Formats: sequence, structure tokens, C-alpha cells
Amino acid sequence: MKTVSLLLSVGSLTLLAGCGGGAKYVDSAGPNTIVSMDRIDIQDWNRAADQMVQNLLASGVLDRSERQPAVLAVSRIVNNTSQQVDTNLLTKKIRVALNQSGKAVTTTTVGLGGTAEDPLAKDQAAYDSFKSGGDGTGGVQPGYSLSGRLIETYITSGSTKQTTFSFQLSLTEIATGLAVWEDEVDITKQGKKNSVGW
Amino acid sequence: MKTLSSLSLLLVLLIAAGCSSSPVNTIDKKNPNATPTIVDSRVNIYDNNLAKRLSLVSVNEAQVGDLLQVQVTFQNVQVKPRTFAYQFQWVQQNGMVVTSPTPVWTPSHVEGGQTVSVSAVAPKPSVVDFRISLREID
Repeated sequence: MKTVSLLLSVGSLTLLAGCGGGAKYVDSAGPNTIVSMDRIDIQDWNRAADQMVQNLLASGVLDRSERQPAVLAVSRIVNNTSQQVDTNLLTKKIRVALNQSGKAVTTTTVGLGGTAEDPLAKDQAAYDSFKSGGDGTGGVQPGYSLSGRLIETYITSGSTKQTTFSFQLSLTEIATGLAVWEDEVDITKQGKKNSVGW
Repeated sequence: MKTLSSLSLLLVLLIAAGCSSSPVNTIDKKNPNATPTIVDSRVNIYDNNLAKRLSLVSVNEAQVGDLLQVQVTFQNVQVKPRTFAYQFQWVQQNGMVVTSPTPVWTPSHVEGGQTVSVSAVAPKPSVVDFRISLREID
């Protein structure tokens, strides 16, 4: 009995040592990441972006654009969750994936409320346009606008918590004002506390 | 001591019963109209338990515009529900793997006896092949 206890203790200590708190690198989208109950984790952003890109590419909407590759502008992504997030964690991943696919490019000189992601490029495009007798706007105008919303739904039962983060995106054809593609990805997490790995 | 053991066993059984869900029965068409393009596949097994639980049913592919779309279908051949994660990798004509801006292990839940299909679209037209990795996560 004593031997069993001793072995168990040694085993536990070995396990604890293996899971020690030393910092290490983990795959940002892999199952060794921390799963939190009340936050959108890096793997959640990756998963939502990946699923939305897959669905957008599979829809064929971008293939039907008159201009190839399609030109997108990023509009408002409303954050209705309880946490402060940078929605670029979603939109940038989508932009990069679409850019790499060759199906779409994103303008950095057209933004919400006249603000540009790249003010220098916007000013230069305006200058070039003015100099060549244009109306001073310059740059390629986007054919599509990407907008969306992040929503959090929270519920508890006893000590078990459940949080759902809903990622909603719409792609609007600017010429018609119609949402030609829409998607919603729900990510639900249930548990009592944060955990390492899933 | 015996009573304690019995109580512990009962508790474990109760917890297991509370957390488990029933397996599913499935009905589909005897002669389906769908005519998928089935792809010959090879499987490298390092997790024998996962291979015993999750059986590969089929791999089929299609074209979405100029992009390759792949669907892999599995069946949980046991009664207990399982959660696994999968990840697609995409290979170009020259054999190089495409680096994804959103590399992701996607979790998927499958009830006992249930058949699930996971699908993905290649990230760029130059992709000609794929591989899918699976791991059990519970």
C-alpha cells in the first residue's frame, strides 16, 4: 500500500512537472492554446475567419465581380461583446486570405467616414488624380463593402458557464446596395473556468 | 471500505450517465441521386484508438470555380460520442504546402453511430492536392 502511494505521488509530481508553468510557444490555432470562458481567444478568431473565408470562396460571389480581382472596402464591424477587441483580428485574417486567393484585394484609401487606412496613399492618389485633370479622388473605387457584428451570449447553470460568440459578416455590392453574401459563425464554450488545451 | 468503494463506483457511474448522450440512428436514401467524385485515399495511422472509433467512409472532391473543394466523411462506429479536431493542408502542383493565414484545428463533435462530413475549399487556385490531419481531443 505504501509503495502504491509512493508511486502515485511520484507519478503526480512527474505529471505536474510536465505541465509546469514555464513559458513555451504553442500553435496559435492548435489544441494546446488556452480556452477562456469569457473572451474571444486567438483560436476563435482564426476559426471564425477560416470558416468565413471558406464560405465566401465557396459561394463564388467574388468570381462574379465585373472587376477581377474584386475590390473590397472594410466598413463598420460593430462590437457588441462585453470585451474590448480589435476587429482587425477578424478582418485582417479574412483580407489576407482573400488577397492570397487572388479573388479579392482590399482598398486602403477608402474607409468609413472618409478616413483611410493608409492616409499617405490616399493623399498621393488624390494628388495624382488632380494633376492629371481628374476630380481629385484617385485610386480604384471598391465594388464591395464588408460589414459585420460581434455578439456575445452568456448563460449559466449552477457553476457551469456557457458563452457563445457570434461572428456575423455581410458583403454588400456597393452598386446595388444588396448583401450578396452573408455568414454567421457561432463559437460556443462551456465550462467552469479557463483551461489550458482543449 | 467496501461501502466506500461501492459508493465511489456508483458516483462514477452516475456522473458518466449524466455526461453521456445517446447514439444516433441514421436514415438515408437507399439509392442516392448524388454522384460524388470519390478520391482514392491512403491513411497513416498513429492513433490506433482514434482509428478504431472513427472510420473513414469516403473522400470526395469537387471544383468551386477554379478552387478545389474536398469533403471527408467519417463515421463514429462506437456508441460513445467523440470530439475530434481536424486540419486541412493544401499542396500546390510543385509539392509546396500553402501557408494559410488562418491555420486552424477545427473541433467537431460526432455522436455514437453518427456520420459526419467535414469539408474545405482550397485557399488558392494553384492547389491540386490536400491532406487532412485528425486528432481526438477528449
